[in-house]
Amino acid sequence: MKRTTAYLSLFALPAALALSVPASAEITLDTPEVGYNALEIRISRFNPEIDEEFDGASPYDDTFDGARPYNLEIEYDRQFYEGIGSLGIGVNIGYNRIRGNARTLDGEDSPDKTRLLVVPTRLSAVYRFDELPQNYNIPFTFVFKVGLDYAFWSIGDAEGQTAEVPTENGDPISGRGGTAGWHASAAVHLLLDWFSPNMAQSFASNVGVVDSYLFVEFMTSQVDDFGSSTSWNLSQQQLWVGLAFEF
Amino acid sequence: MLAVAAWLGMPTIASAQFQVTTAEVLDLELEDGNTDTSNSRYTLNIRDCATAVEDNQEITFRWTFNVSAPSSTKYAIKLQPPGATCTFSTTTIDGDQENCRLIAASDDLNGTSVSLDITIQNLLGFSDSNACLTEGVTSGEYIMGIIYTNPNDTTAGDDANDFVNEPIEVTLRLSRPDAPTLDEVSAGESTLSASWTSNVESIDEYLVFYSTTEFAEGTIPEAVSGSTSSALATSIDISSGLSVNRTYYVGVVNVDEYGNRSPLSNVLDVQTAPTLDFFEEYLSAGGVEQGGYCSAAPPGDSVPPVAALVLLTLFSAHRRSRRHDGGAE
Repeated sequence: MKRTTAYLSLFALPAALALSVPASAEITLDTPEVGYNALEIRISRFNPEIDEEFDGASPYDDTFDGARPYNLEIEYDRQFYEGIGSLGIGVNIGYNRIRGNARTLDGEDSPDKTRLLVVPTRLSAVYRFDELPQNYNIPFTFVFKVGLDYAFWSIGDAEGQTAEVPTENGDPISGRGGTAGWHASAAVHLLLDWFSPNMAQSFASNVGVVDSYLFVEFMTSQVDDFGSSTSWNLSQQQLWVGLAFEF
Repeated sequence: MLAVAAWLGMPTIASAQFQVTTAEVLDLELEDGNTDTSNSRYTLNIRDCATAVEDNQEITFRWTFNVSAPSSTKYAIKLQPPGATCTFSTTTIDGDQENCRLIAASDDLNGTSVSLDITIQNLLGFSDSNACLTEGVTSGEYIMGIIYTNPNDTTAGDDANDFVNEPIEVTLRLSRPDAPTLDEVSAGESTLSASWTSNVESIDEYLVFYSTTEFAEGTIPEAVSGSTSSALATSIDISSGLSVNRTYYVGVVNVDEYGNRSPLSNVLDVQTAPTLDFFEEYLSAGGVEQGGYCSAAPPGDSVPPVAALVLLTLFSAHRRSRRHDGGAE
Protein backbone atom coordinates (compact mmCIF):
# COMPACT_ATOMS: atom_id res chain seq x y z
CA MET A 1 0.00 0.00 0.00
CA LYS A 2 2.79 2.34 0.93
CA ARG A 3 4.64 1.48 -2.29
CA THR A 4 1.52 2.15 -4.36
CA THR A 5 1.04 5.52 -2.71
CA ALA A 6 4.63 6.39 -3.49
CA TYR A 7 4.19 5.42 -7.10
CA LEU A 8 1.01 7.52 -7.41
CA SER A 9 2.74 10.50 -5.88
CA LEU A 10 5.47 10.26 -8.50
CA PHE A 11 2.90 10.16 -11.25
CA ALA A 12 1.60 13.42 -9.83
CA LEU A 13 4.93 15.14 -10.34
CA PRO A 14 4.50 15.93 -14.02
CA ALA A 15 1.02 17.19 -13.32
CA ALA A 16 2.31 19.55 -10.70
CA LEU A 17 4.94 20.79 -13.07
CA ALA A 18 2.39 21.36 -15.78
CA LEU A 19 0.06 23.31 -13.50
CA SER A 20 2.89 25.61 -12.55
CA VAL A 21 3.19 26.85 -16.11
CA PRO A 22 1.15 29.86 -17.24
CA ALA A 23 -2.06 28.88 -18.97
CA SER A 24 -1.11 30.98 -21.93
CA ALA A 25 1.64 28.57 -22.93
CA GLU A 26 1.07 27.21 -26.40
CA ILE A 27 1.82 23.65 -27.29
CA THR A 28 3.67 23.01 -30.48
CA LEU A 29 3.54 19.30 -31.06
CA ASP A 30 5.85 18.81 -33.96
CA THR A 31 5.78 15.60 -35.84
CA PRO A 32 8.23 14.12 -38.26
CA GLU A 33 7.29 14.01 -41.87
CA VAL A 34 8.36 10.48 -42.61
CA GLY A 35 8.23 7.65 -40.11
CA TYR A 36 8.19 8.09 -36.38
CA ASN A 37 10.67 6.90 -33.85
CA ALA A 38 11.13 7.38 -30.16
CA LEU A 39 14.10 6.84 -27.93
CA GLU A 40 13.67 6.44 -24.20
CA ILE A 41 16.43 6.61 -21.63
CA ARG A 42 15.32 5.69 -18.16
CA ILE A 43 16.42 4.67 -14.73
CA SER A 44 14.92 2.58 -11.98
CA ARG A 45 15.95 0.33 -9.12
CA PHE A 46 16.84 -3.29 -9.71
CA ASN A 47 14.69 -5.36 -7.41
CA PRO A 48 14.12 -8.92 -8.62
CA GLU A 49 11.80 -11.23 -6.74
CA ILE A 50 14.30 -14.07 -6.55
CA ASP A 51 13.66 -14.64 -2.86
CA GLU A 52 9.91 -15.02 -3.45
CA GLU A 53 10.65 -18.59 -4.47
CA PHE A 54 11.61 -19.53 -0.95
CA ASP A 55 9.73 -20.05 2.21
CA GLY A 56 11.90 -18.30 4.74
CA ALA A 57 15.26 -18.36 2.97
CA SER A 58 16.50 -15.20 1.30
CA PRO A 59 19.70 -15.94 -0.62
CA TYR A 60 19.45 -12.75 -2.70
CA ASP A 61 19.00 -10.43 0.25
CA ASP A 62 21.60 -12.29 2.29
CA THR A 63 24.22 -12.15 -0.43
CA PHE A 64 23.60 -8.62 -1.64
CA ASP A 65 22.53 -7.13 1.68
CA GLY A 66 19.20 -6.09 0.29
CA ALA A 67 20.86 -3.69 -2.12
CA ARG A 68 18.63 -2.20 -4.81
CA PRO A 69 21.09 -0.73 -7.29
CA TYR A 70 20.05 1.74 -9.95
CA ASN A 71 19.82 0.36 -13.41
CA LEU A 72 19.67 2.02 -16.75
CA GLU A 73 17.71 1.02 -19.79
CA ILE A 74 17.34 2.26 -23.33
CA GLU A 75 14.27 1.71 -25.47
CA TYR A 76 13.69 2.32 -29.13
CA ASP A 77 10.14 2.55 -30.43
CA ARG A 78 8.82 2.64 -33.94
CA GLN A 79 5.23 3.57 -34.74
CA PHE A 80 3.40 1.84 -37.56
CA TYR A 81 -0.22 2.80 -37.07
CA GLU A 82 -1.90 6.15 -36.50
CA GLY A 83 -5.49 6.58 -35.40
CA ILE A 84 -6.69 7.72 -32.05
CA GLY A 85 -3.22 7.70 -30.67
CA SER A 86 -0.64 5.52 -32.28
CA LEU A 87 0.57 1.95 -32.17
CA GLY A 88 4.09 0.76 -32.51
CA ILE A 89 6.67 -1.69 -31.35
CA GLY A 90 9.58 -1.15 -29.07
CA VAL A 91 12.78 -2.91 -28.19
CA ASN A 92 14.59 -2.43 -24.96
CA ILE A 93 17.86 -3.40 -23.37
CA GLY A 94 19.16 -2.77 -19.88
CA TYR A 95 22.07 -3.52 -17.63
CA ASN A 96 22.08 -4.54 -13.99
CA ARG A 97 25.13 -5.59 -12.06
CA ILE A 98 25.22 -6.16 -8.36
CA ARG A 99 28.07 -7.34 -6.16
CA GLY A 100 27.99 -8.91 -2.77
CA ASN A 101 30.01 -11.01 -0.40
CA ALA A 102 30.09 -14.75 -0.83
CA ARG A 103 28.92 -16.56 2.27
CA THR A 104 30.90 -18.88 4.47
CA LEU A 105 29.56 -22.33 5.16
CA ASP A 106 28.45 -20.94 8.50
CA GLY A 107 26.32 -18.36 6.76
CA GLU A 108 28.56 -15.39 7.49
CA ASP A 109 29.88 -12.81 5.05
CA SER A 110 33.29 -13.68 3.66
CA PRO A 111 35.79 -11.42 1.89
CA ASP A 112 35.12 -13.31 -1.35
CA LYS A 113 32.99 -11.40 -3.84
CA THR A 114 30.19 -12.73 -5.97
CA ARG A 115 28.10 -10.91 -8.53
CA LEU A 116 24.87 -11.14 -10.43
CA LEU A 117 24.68 -9.64 -13.90
CA VAL A 118 21.30 -9.32 -15.60
CA VAL A 119 20.78 -7.91 -19.08
CA PRO A 120 17.04 -7.63 -19.66
CA THR A 121 15.71 -7.37 -23.19
CA ARG A 122 12.12 -6.59 -24.06
CA LEU A 123 9.90 -6.53 -27.07
CA SER A 124 6.82 -4.38 -26.57
CA ALA A 125 3.66 -3.36 -28.29
CA VAL A 126 3.37 0.34 -27.57
CA TYR A 127 0.23 2.44 -27.58
CA ARG A 128 0.56 6.19 -27.24
CA PHE A 129 -2.49 8.25 -26.48
CA ASP A 130 -1.34 11.68 -27.57
CA GLU A 131 -4.66 13.32 -28.35
CA LEU A 132 -4.42 15.65 -25.39
CA PRO A 133 -1.45 17.69 -26.57
CA GLN A 134 -2.60 17.44 -30.18
CA ASN A 135 -6.11 18.68 -29.73
CA TYR A 136 -6.60 20.11 -26.27
CA ASN A 137 -3.41 21.94 -25.42
CA ILE A 138 -2.79 19.61 -22.49
CA PRO A 139 0.85 18.50 -22.32
CA PHE A 140 0.33 14.89 -21.33
CA THR A 141 0.67 11.74 -23.34
CA PHE A 142 -0.23 8.36 -21.91
CA VAL A 143 1.77 5.37 -23.01
CA PHE A 144 0.88 1.75 -22.48
CA LYS A 145 3.10 -1.21 -23.25
CA VAL A 146 2.79 -4.94 -23.15
CA GLY A 147 5.21 -7.50 -24.43
CA LEU A 148 7.72 -10.27 -23.97
CA ASP A 149 10.87 -10.31 -21.87
CA TYR A 150 14.04 -12.27 -22.10
CA ALA A 151 16.66 -11.66 -19.42
CA PHE A 152 20.19 -12.86 -19.93
CA TRP A 153 21.96 -13.42 -16.63
CA SER A 154 25.24 -14.59 -15.26
CA ILE A 155 26.59 -15.21 -11.78
CA GLY A 156 30.23 -14.71 -10.91
CA ASP A 157 32.08 -16.73 -8.31
CA ALA A 158 34.80 -15.69 -5.89
CA GLU A 159 37.45 -15.85 -8.56
CA GLY A 160 35.50 -13.70 -10.99
CA GLN A 161 34.59 -16.64 -13.21
CA THR A 162 31.11 -17.79 -14.11
CA ALA A 163 29.86 -19.81 -11.17
CA GLU A 164 29.68 -23.56 -11.56
CA VAL A 165 27.97 -25.76 -9.04
CA PRO A 166 28.83 -29.47 -9.01
CA THR A 167 25.98 -31.96 -9.03
CA GLU A 168 25.68 -35.55 -7.93
CA ASN A 169 25.78 -36.84 -11.50
CA GLY A 170 29.03 -35.02 -12.11
CA ASP A 171 27.74 -32.44 -14.56
CA PRO A 172 28.10 -29.00 -13.04
CA ILE A 173 25.32 -26.46 -13.34
CA SER A 174 26.59 -23.31 -15.01
CA GLY A 175 25.60 -20.06 -13.41
CA ARG A 176 24.40 -18.36 -16.53
CA GLY A 177 21.35 -18.51 -18.69
CA GLY A 178 18.28 -16.71 -19.85
CA THR A 179 14.80 -16.37 -18.44
CA ALA A 180 11.71 -15.47 -20.42
CA GLY A 181 8.57 -13.66 -19.36
CA TRP A 182 6.20 -10.83 -20.09
CA HIS A 183 5.59 -7.28 -18.95
CA ALA A 184 3.00 -4.56 -18.95
CA SER A 185 3.39 -0.90 -18.17
CA ALA A 186 1.64 2.42 -18.03
CA ALA A 187 3.35 5.77 -18.25
CA VAL A 188 2.59 9.44 -18.13
CA HIS A 189 4.71 11.57 -20.44
CA LEU A 190 4.98 15.29 -19.87
CA LEU A 191 5.64 17.20 -23.08
CA LEU A 192 8.60 19.42 -22.36
CA ASP A 193 8.08 21.45 -25.53
CA TRP A 194 5.13 23.02 -23.76
CA PHE A 195 7.44 24.79 -21.33
CA SER A 196 9.75 26.27 -23.92
CA PRO A 197 8.35 26.22 -27.45
CA ASN A 198 11.24 28.21 -28.86
CA MET A 199 13.83 25.88 -27.46
CA ALA A 200 11.83 22.92 -28.72
CA GLN A 201 11.70 24.46 -32.18
CA SER A 202 15.44 24.94 -32.14
CA PHE A 203 15.97 21.38 -30.91
CA ALA A 204 13.83 20.10 -33.76
CA SER A 205 15.53 22.08 -36.49
CA ASN A 206 19.08 21.56 -35.23
CA VAL A 207 19.01 18.02 -33.86
CA GLY A 208 15.93 16.52 -35.41
CA VAL A 209 14.18 15.80 -32.13
CA VAL A 210 10.63 16.96 -32.67
CA ASP A 211 9.21 16.30 -29.21
CA SER A 212 10.80 15.72 -25.82
CA TYR A 213 9.14 14.22 -22.78
CA LEU A 214 9.84 13.66 -19.13
CA PHE A 215 8.06 10.55 -18.01
CA VAL A 216 7.31 8.20 -15.17
CA GLU A 217 6.33 4.65 -15.92
CA PHE A 218 5.10 1.86 -13.73
CA MET A 219 6.00 -1.58 -15.01
CA THR A 220 5.17 -5.00 -13.77
CA SER A 221 7.10 -7.87 -15.24
CA GLN A 222 6.75 -11.60 -14.76
CA VAL A 223 10.05 -13.16 -15.73
CA ASP A 224 10.09 -16.79 -14.63
CA ASP A 225 9.88 -18.74 -17.89
CA PHE A 226 6.11 -18.39 -17.62
CA GLY A 227 5.87 -20.24 -14.38
CA SER A 228 8.34 -22.97 -15.18
CA SER A 229 9.12 -25.26 -12.30
CA THR A 230 12.81 -25.05 -13.12
CA SER A 231 13.14 -21.31 -13.36
CA TRP A 232 13.86 -18.67 -10.83
CA ASN A 233 11.91 -15.50 -10.55
CA LEU A 234 13.38 -12.33 -12.01
CA SER A 235 10.04 -10.55 -11.91
CA GLN A 236 9.95 -6.95 -10.76
CA GLN A 237 7.59 -4.12 -9.95
CA GLN A 238 9.44 -1.06 -11.10
CA LEU A 239 8.89 2.63 -11.28
CA TRP A 240 10.89 4.20 -14.05
CA VAL A 241 11.81 7.83 -14.57
CA GLY A 242 13.24 8.94 -17.85
CA LEU A 243 13.40 11.13 -20.89
CA ALA A 244 11.82 10.32 -24.23
CA PHE A 245 12.66 11.87 -27.56
CA GLU A 246 10.60 11.57 -30.71
CA PHE A 247 12.37 11.97 -33.99
CA MET B 1 69.67 48.07 -21.82
CA LEU B 2 69.36 44.35 -22.43
CA ALA B 3 66.07 44.34 -20.63
CA VAL B 4 64.84 47.18 -22.79
CA ALA B 5 65.96 45.32 -25.90
CA ALA B 6 64.21 42.18 -24.75
CA TRP B 7 61.10 44.19 -23.93
CA LEU B 8 61.15 45.63 -27.43
CA GLY B 9 61.49 42.15 -28.86
CA MET B 10 64.89 42.88 -30.26
CA PRO B 11 67.57 40.18 -30.34
CA THR B 12 70.12 40.65 -27.61
CA ILE B 13 73.80 39.98 -27.90
CA ALA B 14 75.56 39.63 -24.60
CA SER B 15 78.37 37.58 -23.18
CA ALA B 16 76.80 34.74 -21.17
CA GLN B 17 77.83 34.65 -17.53
CA PHE B 18 79.83 31.49 -16.85
CA GLN B 19 77.75 29.37 -14.52
CA VAL B 20 76.56 25.85 -13.72
CA THR B 21 73.39 24.83 -15.51
CA THR B 22 73.00 21.32 -14.11
CA ALA B 23 74.51 19.56 -11.12
CA GLU B 24 73.54 15.93 -11.09
CA VAL B 25 74.45 12.38 -10.17
CA LEU B 26 74.46 9.79 -12.94
CA ASP B 27 73.99 6.03 -12.62
CA LEU B 28 72.51 6.25 -9.15
CA GLU B 29 69.39 4.09 -9.21
CA LEU B 30 66.89 5.07 -6.53
CA GLU B 31 63.28 4.19 -5.81
CA ASP B 32 60.55 6.40 -7.20
CA GLY B 33 60.34 9.81 -5.62
CA ASN B 34 63.87 9.84 -4.23
CA THR B 35 65.49 11.69 -7.12
CA ASP B 36 65.13 15.46 -7.34
CA THR B 37 67.35 16.47 -10.23
CA SER B 38 66.06 20.02 -10.42
CA ASN B 39 67.37 20.71 -6.92
CA SER B 40 70.36 18.35 -7.17
CA ARG B 41 69.07 16.27 -4.27
CA TYR B 42 69.24 12.50 -4.07
CA THR B 43 67.79 10.53 -1.19
CA LEU B 44 68.76 6.94 -0.46
CA ASN B 45 66.27 5.06 1.63
CA ILE B 46 67.15 1.85 3.40
CA ARG B 47 66.80 -0.37 0.36
CA ASP B 48 68.47 2.16 -1.97
CA CYS B 49 71.38 2.24 0.42
CA ALA B 50 71.61 -1.53 0.84
CA THR B 51 71.46 -2.18 -2.88
CA ALA B 52 73.94 0.53 -3.81
CA VAL B 53 76.44 -0.48 -1.14
CA GLU B 54 76.12 -4.18 -1.86
CA ASP B 55 76.65 -3.63 -5.58
CA ASN B 56 79.19 -0.89 -4.84
CA GLN B 57 77.82 1.05 -7.74
CA GLU B 58 80.09 3.55 -9.41
CA ILE B 59 78.28 6.81 -9.80
CA THR B 60 79.20 10.04 -11.48
CA PHE B 61 78.83 13.54 -10.11
CA ARG B 62 78.64 15.93 -13.00
CA TRP B 63 78.45 19.68 -13.19
CA THR B 64 77.61 21.14 -16.57
CA PHE B 65 78.28 24.78 -17.43
CA ASN B 66 76.50 26.99 -19.89
CA VAL B 67 79.68 27.90 -21.78
CA SER B 68 83.27 26.78 -21.86
CA ALA B 69 85.26 27.82 -18.87
CA PRO B 70 87.38 30.91 -19.32
CA SER B 71 91.07 30.23 -19.35
CA SER B 72 92.85 29.88 -16.01
CA THR B 73 89.66 28.86 -14.23
CA LYS B 74 90.48 26.53 -11.36
CA TYR B 75 88.20 24.22 -9.44
CA ALA B 76 88.14 21.94 -6.43
CA ILE B 77 85.64 19.37 -5.23
CA LYS B 78 84.89 18.82 -1.57
CA LEU B 79 82.83 16.13 0.10
CA GLN B 80 81.15 16.99 3.35
CA PRO B 81 79.99 13.79 5.06
CA PRO B 82 77.53 13.87 7.97
CA GLY B 83 79.13 15.50 11.00
CA ALA B 84 81.79 17.35 9.06
CA THR B 85 81.92 20.99 8.05
CA CYS B 86 83.45 22.06 4.80
CA THR B 87 84.24 25.56 3.77
CA PHE B 88 82.89 25.86 0.27
CA SER B 89 84.41 29.27 -0.33
CA THR B 90 87.96 28.04 -0.77
CA THR B 91 89.61 25.42 -2.94
CA THR B 92 91.64 24.10 -0.02
CA ILE B 93 90.63 22.41 3.23
CA ASP B 94 92.43 24.90 5.41
CA GLY B 95 90.14 25.66 8.27
CA ASP B 96 87.76 22.86 7.42
CA GLN B 97 86.95 20.12 9.89
CA GLU B 98 89.11 17.07 9.72
CA ASN B 99 86.39 14.95 8.16
CA CYS B 100 85.93 17.25 5.20
CA ARG B 101 87.36 15.45 2.22
CA LEU B 102 89.09 17.25 -0.60
CA ILE B 103 88.35 15.11 -3.65
CA ALA B 104 90.01 17.36 -6.21
CA ALA B 105 92.12 20.43 -5.67
CA SER B 106 93.01 23.37 -7.89
CA ASP B 107 92.61 21.57 -11.14
CA ASP B 108 92.20 23.42 -14.37
CA LEU B 109 88.62 23.69 -15.47
CA ASN B 110 88.38 23.13 -19.19
CA GLY B 111 85.40 22.66 -21.42
CA THR B 112 81.76 22.78 -20.34
CA SER B 113 81.57 20.10 -17.68
CA VAL B 114 83.32 18.50 -14.74
CA SER B 115 82.73 14.86 -13.85
CA LEU B 116 83.76 12.86 -10.85
CA ASP B 117 83.46 9.08 -10.75
CA ILE B 118 83.24 7.54 -7.31
CA THR B 119 81.97 4.27 -5.89
CA ILE B 120 79.15 4.28 -3.41
CA GLN B 121 81.29 2.64 -0.74
CA ASN B 122 83.94 5.30 -1.21
CA LEU B 123 81.36 8.04 -1.06
CA LEU B 124 79.59 6.76 2.04
CA GLY B 125 82.68 5.47 3.78
CA PHE B 126 81.42 1.98 4.59
CA SER B 127 81.06 -1.30 2.75
CA ASP B 128 78.61 -3.37 4.79
CA SER B 129 75.16 -3.22 3.24
CA ASN B 130 73.64 -4.65 6.43
CA ALA B 131 74.52 -1.37 8.09
CA CYS B 132 71.85 0.24 5.90
CA LEU B 133 69.22 -2.28 7.00
CA THR B 134 69.93 -2.24 10.69
CA GLU B 135 70.58 1.45 11.17
CA GLY B 136 74.22 0.59 11.74
CA VAL B 137 75.06 3.94 10.19
CA THR B 138 73.38 7.20 10.92
CA SER B 139 71.29 9.09 8.51
CA GLY B 140 72.71 12.29 7.16
CA GLU B 141 73.64 14.43 4.23
CA TYR B 142 76.65 13.97 1.99
CA ILE B 143 77.31 17.20 0.16
CA MET B 144 79.56 17.00 -2.86
CA GLY B 145 80.38 20.55 -3.89
CA ILE B 146 82.38 22.00 -6.71
CA ILE B 147 84.20 25.24 -5.97
CA TYR B 148 85.55 27.15 -8.93
CA THR B 149 87.14 30.53 -9.41
CA ASN B 150 84.65 33.17 -10.25
CA PRO B 151 85.47 34.61 -13.66
CA ASN B 152 82.92 37.30 -13.07
CA ASP B 153 84.60 38.60 -9.95
CA THR B 154 85.75 42.08 -10.75
CA THR B 155 86.74 43.13 -7.27
CA ALA B 156 90.41 43.20 -6.41
CA GLY B 157 91.92 41.10 -3.64
CA ASP B 158 90.53 38.17 -1.74
CA ASP B 159 86.87 38.37 -0.91
CA ALA B 160 83.77 36.28 -0.75
CA ASN B 161 83.28 36.54 -4.48
CA ASP B 162 86.49 34.78 -5.41
CA PHE B 163 84.86 31.38 -5.69
CA VAL B 164 81.54 29.97 -6.71
CA ASN B 165 80.13 26.83 -5.11
CA GLU B 166 77.61 24.43 -6.58
CA PRO B 167 76.66 21.54 -4.25
CA ILE B 168 75.03 18.20 -4.95
CA GLU B 169 73.27 16.67 -1.98
CA VAL B 170 73.11 12.93 -1.37
CA THR B 171 71.12 12.07 1.74
CA LEU B 172 70.85 8.81 3.63
CA ARG B 173 67.42 8.27 5.23
CA LEU B 174 67.80 5.12 7.24
CA SER B 175 65.23 5.53 9.97
CA ARG B 176 62.28 3.19 9.98
CA PRO B 177 58.82 4.39 10.96
CA ASP B 178 57.10 2.62 13.83
CA ALA B 179 55.09 -0.48 13.00
CA PRO B 180 51.30 -0.44 12.71
CA THR B 181 49.01 -2.78 14.62
CA LEU B 182 47.26 -5.47 12.65
CA ASP B 183 43.71 -5.63 14.02
CA GLU B 184 41.90 -8.29 12.05
CA VAL B 185 42.25 -10.72 9.20
CA SER B 186 39.62 -12.92 7.60
CA ALA B 187 39.56 -15.12 4.56
CA GLY B 188 37.25 -16.67 2.05
CA GLU B 189 38.40 -19.27 -0.43
CA SER B 190 40.31 -16.87 -2.66
CA THR B 191 40.27 -13.54 -0.88
CA LEU B 192 42.03 -12.41 2.22
CA SER B 193 40.93 -9.31 4.10
CA ALA B 194 43.01 -7.39 6.62
CA SER B 195 42.61 -4.18 8.59
CA TRP B 196 45.06 -2.38 10.82
CA THR B 197 45.72 0.77 12.82
CA SER B 198 48.65 3.12 12.37
CA ASN B 199 49.59 5.90 14.74
CA VAL B 200 52.38 7.23 12.53
CA GLU B 201 51.78 10.45 10.64
CA SER B 202 53.10 11.12 7.16
CA ILE B 203 52.76 7.54 6.03
CA ASP B 204 52.69 7.23 2.27
CA GLU B 205 51.28 3.73 2.06
CA TYR B 206 51.11 0.39 3.75
CA LEU B 207 52.53 -2.90 2.65
CA VAL B 208 50.82 -6.13 3.60
CA PHE B 209 52.87 -9.31 3.74
CA TYR B 210 51.17 -12.68 3.48
CA SER B 211 52.64 -16.12 3.25
CA THR B 212 52.03 -19.74 4.13
CA THR B 213 55.40 -19.55 5.88
CA GLU B 214 55.25 -18.09 9.34
CA PHE B 215 57.09 -14.87 10.09
CA ALA B 216 57.57 -12.99 13.31
CA GLU B 217 56.56 -9.62 14.64
CA GLY B 218 59.30 -7.03 14.49
CA THR B 219 61.15 -8.65 11.61
CA ILE B 220 62.62 -6.14 9.22
CA PRO B 221 60.53 -6.42 6.07
CA GLU B 222 63.55 -6.77 3.81
CA ALA B 223 64.13 -10.13 5.50
CA VAL B 224 60.55 -11.36 5.08
CA SER B 225 59.88 -13.72 2.21
CA GLY B 226 56.26 -13.56 1.22
CA SER B 227 53.85 -11.97 -1.15
CA THR B 228 53.06 -8.32 -0.73
CA SER B 229 50.23 -6.02 -1.59
CA SER B 230 50.22 -2.27 -1.07
CA ALA B 231 47.37 -0.20 0.26
CA LEU B 232 46.66 3.49 0.74
CA ALA B 233 43.93 2.91 3.29
CA THR B 234 44.09 0.89 6.50
CA SER B 235 42.33 -2.13 5.08
CA ILE B 236 42.75 -4.33 2.07
CA ASP B 237 41.22 -7.24 0.21
CA ILE B 238 43.81 -9.46 -1.45
CA SER B 239 42.65 -11.81 -4.18
CA SER B 240 45.78 -12.97 -5.90
CA GLY B 241 47.96 -15.97 -5.26
CA LEU B 242 45.77 -17.58 -2.63
CA SER B 243 44.79 -21.22 -2.40
CA VAL B 244 41.86 -22.67 -0.55
CA ASN B 245 42.31 -24.63 2.68
CA ARG B 246 45.69 -23.13 3.50
CA THR B 247 46.86 -21.19 6.53
CA TYR B 248 48.24 -17.75 5.73
CA TYR B 249 50.30 -15.55 8.02
CA VAL B 250 49.67 -11.85 7.61
CA GLY B 251 51.61 -8.80 8.74
CA VAL B 252 51.69 -5.17 7.70
CA VAL B 253 54.29 -2.41 7.65
CA ASN B 254 54.15 1.37 7.41
CA VAL B 255 55.95 2.93 4.47
CA ASP B 256 57.13 6.52 4.90
CA GLU B 257 57.61 9.25 2.34
CA TYR B 258 61.08 8.00 1.42
CA GLY B 259 59.93 4.43 0.95
CA ASN B 260 61.33 3.18 4.24
CA ARG B 261 59.38 0.35 5.78
CA SER B 262 58.69 -0.13 9.45
CA PRO B 263 59.41 -3.41 11.19
CA LEU B 264 56.67 -5.97 10.71
CA SER B 265 53.54 -5.54 12.80
CA ASN B 266 52.08 -8.27 14.93
CA VAL B 267 51.33 -11.33 12.81
CA LEU B 268 47.90 -12.94 12.56
CA ASP B 269 47.07 -16.17 10.82
CA VAL B 270 43.93 -17.12 8.96
CA GLN B 271 42.79 -20.16 7.03
CA THR B 272 41.19 -19.96 3.62
CA ALA B 273 38.04 -22.06 3.35
CA PRO B 274 35.39 -22.75 0.72
CA THR B 275 32.62 -20.18 0.43
CA LEU B 276 29.30 -20.08 -1.35
CA ASP B 277 28.92 -17.72 -4.29
CA PHE B 278 25.43 -16.44 -5.00
CA PHE B 279 24.48 -19.36 -7.22
CA GLU B 280 25.67 -21.87 -4.65
CA GLU B 281 23.83 -19.95 -1.95
CA TYR B 282 20.67 -19.91 -4.08
CA LEU B 283 20.83 -23.63 -4.87
CA SER B 284 21.70 -24.63 -1.33
CA ALA B 285 18.59 -22.78 -0.16
CA GLY B 286 16.54 -25.00 -2.47
CA GLY B 287 16.46 -22.86 -5.60
CA VAL B 288 15.18 -24.55 -8.74
CA GLU B 289 16.99 -22.61 -11.46
CA GLN B 290 19.27 -24.90 -13.43
CA GLY B 291 20.97 -22.37 -15.70
CA GLY B 292 21.07 -22.48 -19.48
CA TYR B 293 19.13 -20.58 -22.07
CA CYS B 294 16.42 -22.55 -23.81
CA SER B 295 16.65 -26.10 -22.57
CA ALA B 296 16.36 -25.61 -18.85
CA ALA B 297 12.59 -25.45 -18.77
CA PRO B 298 10.43 -28.39 -19.80
CA PRO B 299 9.10 -28.36 -23.37
CA GLY B 300 6.12 -26.11 -23.70
CA ASP B 301 6.94 -24.50 -20.42
CA SER B 302 9.16 -21.75 -21.67
CA VAL B 303 9.56 -19.33 -24.50
CA PRO B 304 12.76 -19.53 -26.51
CA PRO B 305 14.66 -16.33 -27.04
CA VAL B 306 13.11 -15.48 -30.35
CA ALA B 307 13.05 -11.80 -29.59
CA ALA B 308 15.63 -11.02 -32.21
CA LEU B 309 13.72 -12.89 -34.88
CA VAL B 310 10.45 -11.22 -33.99
CA LEU B 311 12.16 -7.87 -34.01
CA LEU B 312 13.53 -8.40 -37.46
CA THR B 313 10.11 -9.37 -38.71
CA LEU B 314 8.35 -6.41 -37.21
CA PHE B 315 10.95 -3.94 -38.26
CA SER B 316 10.66 -5.06 -41.80
CA ALA B 317 7.20 -3.49 -41.79
CA HIS B 318 7.00 -0.51 -44.08
CA ARG B 319 7.68 2.93 -42.78
CA ARG B 320 4.78 5.21 -42.71
CA SER B 321 4.20 8.84 -42.10
CA ARG B 322 2.67 10.02 -38.93
CA ARG B 323 -0.52 11.98 -38.51
CA HIS B 324 0.56 15.29 -39.71
CA ASP B 325 0.09 17.80 -42.21
CA GLY B 326 2.18 17.33 -45.24
CA GLY B 327 3.27 13.90 -44.12
CA ALA B 328 4.45 11.79 -47.00
CA GLU B 329 3.33 8.20 -47.10
